[in-house]
Amino acid sequence: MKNSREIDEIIERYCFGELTPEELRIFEQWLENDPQLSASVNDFLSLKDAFENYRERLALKKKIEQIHEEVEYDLFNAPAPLKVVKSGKSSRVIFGKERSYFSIAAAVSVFLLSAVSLSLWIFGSGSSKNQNAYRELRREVEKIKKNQKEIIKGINADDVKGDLKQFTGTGFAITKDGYVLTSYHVVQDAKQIYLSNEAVGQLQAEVVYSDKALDLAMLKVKEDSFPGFKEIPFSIKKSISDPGEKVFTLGFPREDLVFGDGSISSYTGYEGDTTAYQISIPVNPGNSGGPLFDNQGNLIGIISGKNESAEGASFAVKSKWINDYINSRNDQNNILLPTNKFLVGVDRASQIKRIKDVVFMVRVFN
Amino acid sequence: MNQVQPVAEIQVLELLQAGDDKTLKIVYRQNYQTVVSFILNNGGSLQEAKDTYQETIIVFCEKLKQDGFELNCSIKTFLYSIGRRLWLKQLKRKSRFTTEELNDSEDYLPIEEDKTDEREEQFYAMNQALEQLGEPCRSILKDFYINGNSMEEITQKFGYTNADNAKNQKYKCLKRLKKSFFEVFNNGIVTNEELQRD
Repeated sequence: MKNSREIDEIIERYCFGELTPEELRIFEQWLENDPQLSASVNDFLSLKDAFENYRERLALKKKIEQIHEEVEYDLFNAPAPLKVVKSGKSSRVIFGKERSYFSIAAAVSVFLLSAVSLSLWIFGSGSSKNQNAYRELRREVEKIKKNQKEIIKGINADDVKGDLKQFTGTGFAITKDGYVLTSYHVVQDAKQIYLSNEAVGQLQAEVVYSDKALDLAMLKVKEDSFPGFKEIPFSIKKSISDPGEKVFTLGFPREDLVFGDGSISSYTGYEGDTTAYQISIPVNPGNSGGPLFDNQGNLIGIISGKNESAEGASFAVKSKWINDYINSRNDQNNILLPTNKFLVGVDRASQIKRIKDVVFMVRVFN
Repeated sequence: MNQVQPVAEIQVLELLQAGDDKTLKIVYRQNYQTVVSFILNNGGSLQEAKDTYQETIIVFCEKLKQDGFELNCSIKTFLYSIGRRLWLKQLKRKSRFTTEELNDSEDYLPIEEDKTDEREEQFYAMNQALEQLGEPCRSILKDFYINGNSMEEITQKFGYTNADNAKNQKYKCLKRLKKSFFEVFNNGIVTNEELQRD
């Protein structure tokens, strides 16, 4: 007589179809005469079925968990409507809104336009309707502005030829040793970049890396005897801020630093762009690349553009993306992000006093 | 720019039935808030809400694959209804009886019992049984019956002196698992009738 472990083993082998023909013959005979054995076989089959189901579901669960991770960030945003892009015969479902390249096109067309006066908006000349709605905010400056010519002359007269175009935007330091963030569209196609403000005077800089889609560029000061910036007073917020939160920015829509404040209006930017916020700060050309701070003086974004067809709708790239982006590039340039909290619990005027030394006008010559 | 148009949901269903993961991702994202909010509003934690929502998606996928599947409501309503029912079941299992009505934010349909229920119960029972087992039983059984590892691999991995020792251990473990699996499975089934008997 076999013990119960041996019987269970035979049942298992029977259920997995592993019995030899001889064993099978004997087992089936046995099965006919023993209802208890038959019940045990059924139990094992149920268990086997449950194992298989468990395995399948686990795989499905894993897949769904992966989907969850991929969309986790978007889940905190308003759901975008389901859209299908009709392209020829086949239709394709697209995932929310993807940032198009029209903005780049707009900036390129700007380049093609000849003289635009200092205070005028830069108009893209593309055919798409959307092209006109999203306005990047770098400022084109007439090449013959006297004061700038002098500056140029003072720095590097030989390099700057008469036909160069000049744009301005805003940038801000994120490390003491000379790393500066701004918008990609401010420095795109730049031949020369200069940073200037009251504290540092004028410094030449170069692009270390940049990302078109996120509209971010990392600059580094390129000066032999650069003493370093003052301590960066803020830290970069890694989480998402909510609509209603009060925010402010500093920028150079003109030759002097200008403060602007408002609130976050939406979790998403232009056309549901989830990498950006919509904010209610009136911004102007030249504000692009400017830092966006919350009440505590944490950096929560970078001003990137505004909606032309809606009043008071400006956009800023979220700091979460900035943080992730910089970290993803840290294998080449180890940039330690600022973590200072000098601005917490300080009134607005004092905050600005500390920030203004690390916010620059970015002048770009194409 | 391409012309953007809303799609009939039937197209979405077809893509899902064809196993299009990108569409699944969209559906997952679009309905997350609705189902998760429902659970949060009805006594669930965020973790429970997320788990139940993922279970909802699994049930939805399984239902889609059944022969003759037909959807007579929006995907959103369907998912809400599945999620609602799963959460009700969960509440029953935990015996969190509430005299209060459930807080509904959406219309919902009665979901008929079908094979997906049994599979869900089976999964739940197996999960519970494995949880109750403890180590090394849980890992041994998972390795052998779910991950398909051989007895030799298991012998090595768990440091048994020979394959027979490992087999003996596995046999004991399976016996315990069997007992608790059937306990949960046979008692755990919550029928529609029970769900309505509030």
